[in-house]
Amino acid sequence: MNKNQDITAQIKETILNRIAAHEYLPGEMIPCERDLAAMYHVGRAAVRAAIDELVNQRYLVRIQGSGTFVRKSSQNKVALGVLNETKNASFTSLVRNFGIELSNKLLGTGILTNRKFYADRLGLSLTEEIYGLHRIRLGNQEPLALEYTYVPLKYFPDIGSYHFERVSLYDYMDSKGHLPIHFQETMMMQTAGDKLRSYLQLQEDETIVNYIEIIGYDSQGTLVEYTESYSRPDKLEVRFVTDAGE
Amino acid sequence: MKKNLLTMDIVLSKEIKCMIKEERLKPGDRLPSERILAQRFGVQRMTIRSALQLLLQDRTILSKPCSGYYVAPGRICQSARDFSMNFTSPETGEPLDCLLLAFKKQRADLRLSGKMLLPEDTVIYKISKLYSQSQKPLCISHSYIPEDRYPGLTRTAAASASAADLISAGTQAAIGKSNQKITLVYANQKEAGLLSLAPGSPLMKHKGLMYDTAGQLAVFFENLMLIDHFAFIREAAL
Repeated sequence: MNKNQDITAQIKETILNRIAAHEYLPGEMIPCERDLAAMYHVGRAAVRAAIDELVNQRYLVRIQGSGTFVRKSSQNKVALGVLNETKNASFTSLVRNFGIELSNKLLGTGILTNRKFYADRLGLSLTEEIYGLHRIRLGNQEPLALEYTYVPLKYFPDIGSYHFERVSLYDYMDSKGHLPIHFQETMMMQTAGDKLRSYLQLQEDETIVNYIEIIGYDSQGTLVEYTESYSRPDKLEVRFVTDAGE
Repeated sequence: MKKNLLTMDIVLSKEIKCMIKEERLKPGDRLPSERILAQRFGVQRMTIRSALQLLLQDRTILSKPCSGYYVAPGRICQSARDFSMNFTSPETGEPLDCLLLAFKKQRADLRLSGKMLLPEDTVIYKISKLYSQSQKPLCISHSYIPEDRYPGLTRTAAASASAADLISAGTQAAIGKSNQKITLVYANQKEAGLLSLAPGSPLMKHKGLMYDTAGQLAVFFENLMLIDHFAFIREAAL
């Protein structure tokens, strides 16, 4: 490591420590390059290099014409998919545990038939009706996830008369004796398109979302739910607990 | 019944995915044209186009300008219950190429001792590897094994097997439990260099702690993976 890189690394470390110690708060502007250079008795180039790296690594964000700020993120991160089967960890219950007020915005509902993919996922024949529920899940009024949920209509014949902006879907499914408690999940990350970006209110430089497919079985082992969930990686983190003996 | 208000492009994108599977289209195979797809699914071309956009975003398909849409290579699937983490190509079933980047014995600094929940200065082996497929680097993997869990671990042994397999083969207890987490991170200079990316490129970070059947910490791992090439599966325990 040459001397300049060394100085850059030290400045980076110092700024990170100040963020960690809450001397620089999320959303707060940090001193300008010139002031930092004077504070640490180093050249502006070294300060700029350190800030560049912190911007690249998403600790800081540069706003043209105003300055460099500590990124507001990782606040109120909630765990998604902490689905150790012994716990019934529905999204709602998880979020509730973290003290975040959850609400839903309904995008649309409807009935699908003759759709091979969805019939396969729910273990239904092509002619059986599938009820679809498309929602945005919000925590403290901010979007966390876009969820497309599908359930077999035969188990939930009156589902169309409920308003899932207010009623918890899992409470409703439970009332019908079909609460999903075992889950098969597939998780990946992917690029977000314009529509998803606007639903999740992603910023310009936020291009990646979590994508999780969940198949839910009730206590009888009946397949009762198929959900596709796109979530903000800065708001929801994906965790697994795995036991070999399960 | 009342009007269907579901978002149709997402529904259609999944139907196209299903068609790719049913017709056994392979990576590199060309999809039917937008016109043919629109006819086949009985929708407007605009709806098909927007469904295809969704499949580009999750990298089910790739587009070639003036040519059309092609099936993309499959993602490497990692089961949450497979502690070995031997990445295999979805097409050939062959393991990815693995290069040992570094093997060293070190004392845990503050960061590492915090992550591994061990006292500072605990002696730990650090094993770094680079996984590639057809010369394309896909994943940087760092594994940490406390020395007292595997006294005398050699460079050759470390290069030959994954951390969990080392523990299972070289010690009395196999891995029995793990805590794993998947987050979005951004590549620093060094990571970007190893993965042939621009610094600041998004990466998927898969990290976790593995415990042996006696409940003792055996491995801490941190894998940095290309977003488009990996998926995780967790089977239901019915």
